[in-house]
Amino acid sequence: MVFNEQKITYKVKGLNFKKFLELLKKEKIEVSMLKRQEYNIFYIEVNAKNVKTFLKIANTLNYQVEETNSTILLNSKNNIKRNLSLFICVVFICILTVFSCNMVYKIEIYGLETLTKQQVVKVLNDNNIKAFKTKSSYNLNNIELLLKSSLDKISFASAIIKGNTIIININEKINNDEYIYDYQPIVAPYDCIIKKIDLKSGTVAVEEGQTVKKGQEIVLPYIDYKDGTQLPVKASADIYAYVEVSHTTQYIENHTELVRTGRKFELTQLNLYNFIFKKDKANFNYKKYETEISYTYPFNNFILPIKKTTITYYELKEKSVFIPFEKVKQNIIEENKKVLYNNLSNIKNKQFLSYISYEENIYYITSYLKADVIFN
Amino acid sequence: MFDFFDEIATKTGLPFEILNNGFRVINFSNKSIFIEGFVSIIKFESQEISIKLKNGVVRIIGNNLTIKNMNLESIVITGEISSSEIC
Repeated sequence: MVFNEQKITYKVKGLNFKKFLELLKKEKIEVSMLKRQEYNIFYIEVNAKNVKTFLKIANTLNYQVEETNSTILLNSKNNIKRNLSLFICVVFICILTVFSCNMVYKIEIYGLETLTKQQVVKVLNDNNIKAFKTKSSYNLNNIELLLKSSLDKISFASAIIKGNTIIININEKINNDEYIYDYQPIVAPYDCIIKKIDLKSGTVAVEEGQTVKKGQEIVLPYIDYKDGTQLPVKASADIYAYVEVSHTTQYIENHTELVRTGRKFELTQLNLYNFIFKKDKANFNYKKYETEISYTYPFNNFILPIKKTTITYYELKEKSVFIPFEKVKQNIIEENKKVLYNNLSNIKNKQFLSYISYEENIYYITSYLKADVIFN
Repeated sequence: MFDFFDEIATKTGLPFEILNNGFRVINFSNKSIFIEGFVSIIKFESQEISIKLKNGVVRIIGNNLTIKNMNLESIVITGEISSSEIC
């Protein structure tokens, strides 16, 4: 690439040019187009980089210097002409840059879950929405409406242009059918008579005053529509019911009990996880026995996970015992009461009764609990 | 250019050092004169230009004579050159 030097033409007025030219030569200033028009006027072209020195020398010799022409701009033009190909390239690049800034090269789609990218692209292509068009040719609102109207699964679509890319964000509809409703009905926890139902949500399946069995559905987890469809809802209600429960315990005054004789046998074994690597032999001959098992970790401080299991066998023997019923009667009633109360919750207006009968050396203690209960 | 002066040196029989250390004046069909090894400008008018060389003087006569270019070593004179003499 060749660029002309920038030159300035001066009209110099003065005498003794020889000295002036010698000084220019001495200062290594290259001059050109030196013309003497009159005896005291000449024209001279000086490189732009030497102008300062040139003017200084001219000033020293009291010359009148006048700038007549500058080739700086001219040379620039000449350069452009000479480098026409470069100029065309620059112009072409500028046009290309402006053009490319206004183009869309890519369409990106985000937010797809069940839909595929191909489905969305197909809709866009069918409506002539493709890449490699000018930005102004795209109507983003139309793209959003088109996607929403064309694909039922789309609930929301937004399109923006960022750089040279159209970014389409899609939100898909939530498909209710995919949800599995795990609403459970309210069932009777025990046999009872329904007194009142304060329904919060769901459908009542029994009537007030109706006797229900344990496990029977009282409130169903849905609402019936007139058109026959059902809307799943959580079954919720406060159910007031009357309940009668009973529990019977038998007691025999003369009975045998197993008591320890005092003899025992200890058996130990060492385990490393599930592996038993030391086990004693069960060397005893008790007819009846009971066992107690205890575990210790002898190497607990040494990290070794060895477990020592000690099984103690206690010899038992049968022993006849006579405890009069009257002595244990109250305890049995209290036990019955505990059992009955444990089965019920939120008890109100309770009534507890116990009946005792005797038949063939056996006492039958039957306790009744009658109460109003609330469950939900 | 070196081939050119080598050829001159060969044809004239002069050593290259003498050719190289002196001055050179080349006249291009009386349209332009290239002078190398000039010392100073003795006379500069549109009809006559005299230039002092290292070992002599060159005198150029013509019309509209212009110093086309002048730097430390060389000078180029253009115009309607009618005669040039070296003495």
